[in-house]
Amino acid sequence: DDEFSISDISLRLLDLSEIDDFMAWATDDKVSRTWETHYSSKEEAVNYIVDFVIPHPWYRAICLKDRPIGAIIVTPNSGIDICRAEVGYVLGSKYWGKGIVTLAVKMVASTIFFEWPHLERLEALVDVHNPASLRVLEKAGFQREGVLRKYCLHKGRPIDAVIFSLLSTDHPHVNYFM
Amino acid sequence: MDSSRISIRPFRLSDANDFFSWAKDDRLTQYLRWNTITSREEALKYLKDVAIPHPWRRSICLDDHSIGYISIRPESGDDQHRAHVGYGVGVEYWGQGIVTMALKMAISSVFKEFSYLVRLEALVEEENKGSQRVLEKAGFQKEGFLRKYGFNKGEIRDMYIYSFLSTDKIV
Repeated sequence: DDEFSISDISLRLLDLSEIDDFMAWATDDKVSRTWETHYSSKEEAVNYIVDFVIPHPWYRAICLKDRPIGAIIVTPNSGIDICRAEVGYVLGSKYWGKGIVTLAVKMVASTIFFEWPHLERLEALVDVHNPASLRVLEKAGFQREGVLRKYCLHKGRPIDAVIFSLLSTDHPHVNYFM
Repeated sequence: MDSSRISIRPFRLSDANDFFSWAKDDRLTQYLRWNTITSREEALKYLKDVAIPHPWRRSICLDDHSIGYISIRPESGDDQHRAHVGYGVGVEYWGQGIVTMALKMAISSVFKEFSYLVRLEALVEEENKGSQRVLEKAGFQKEGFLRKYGFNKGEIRDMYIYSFLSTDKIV
């Protein structure tokens, strides 16, 4: 069960019936130290999936052998800022340290610029005190641009966030399918 | 420039002529998201519909005549501890430290008015050196270079991001 290969990791839509898999990472204490959770009960989680996950323009479950173990989300901007979108990710703590999130980010990077032709910049914001998450983006080929002081609130407290970007013109995401 | 001649205050409809005299200049609006004002009627309408109802927009005044503006716009919802700063001043007043003076006045005023405000930030295009100097002299910290960050006047542009925190010292 612990052994897996790259081909066992996939991204796909999350189904409401997979609520228990979702709860596994949503109620994970180690995860909530780094990820804002707005729900603690199954009912709140169902509402979150119905109101946020399902209508979201790009929310994918990170799956191991087709079982959701986390999520990766790309949030677009509107109007004249559609050239820019933000990627965020979350993974159950028992799957940390195996390169799964890095792989998921690379998968997103290899398709999102084709799915959204107006997109020129994919960015990510990471707590400066989360070295594992910083490494994910470095390994996925993002460029670190700076530290934004007290940029986000996490559990009501402002945190310093490192901003990273990947441009449609950067390597190494470009895969020539033709 | 004698700093006692510079002040910031809300816009009034009676500022329309002064406002028009600087807002019609492309050299000022080229880096701003709003378009050059082309008539006195448009100037009056803009003051009435945009500048006066704005949550925090101030006229930069020289001897109580409007020569520019400073605008502070908090983000919505979960991010309202953070606000975006914009500014501009008539071309003939560039290079005299006027915007820097006005910014310092604005900073101390806005952190008092909005107690939940923690971070002011400004985005400046790479080639806009004058604006970068204004922020540096007002004590803003340059945090990074954001590649292809935003669309303005027909192009996607690289920008520097600067910030000033409620805990930073006004120099």
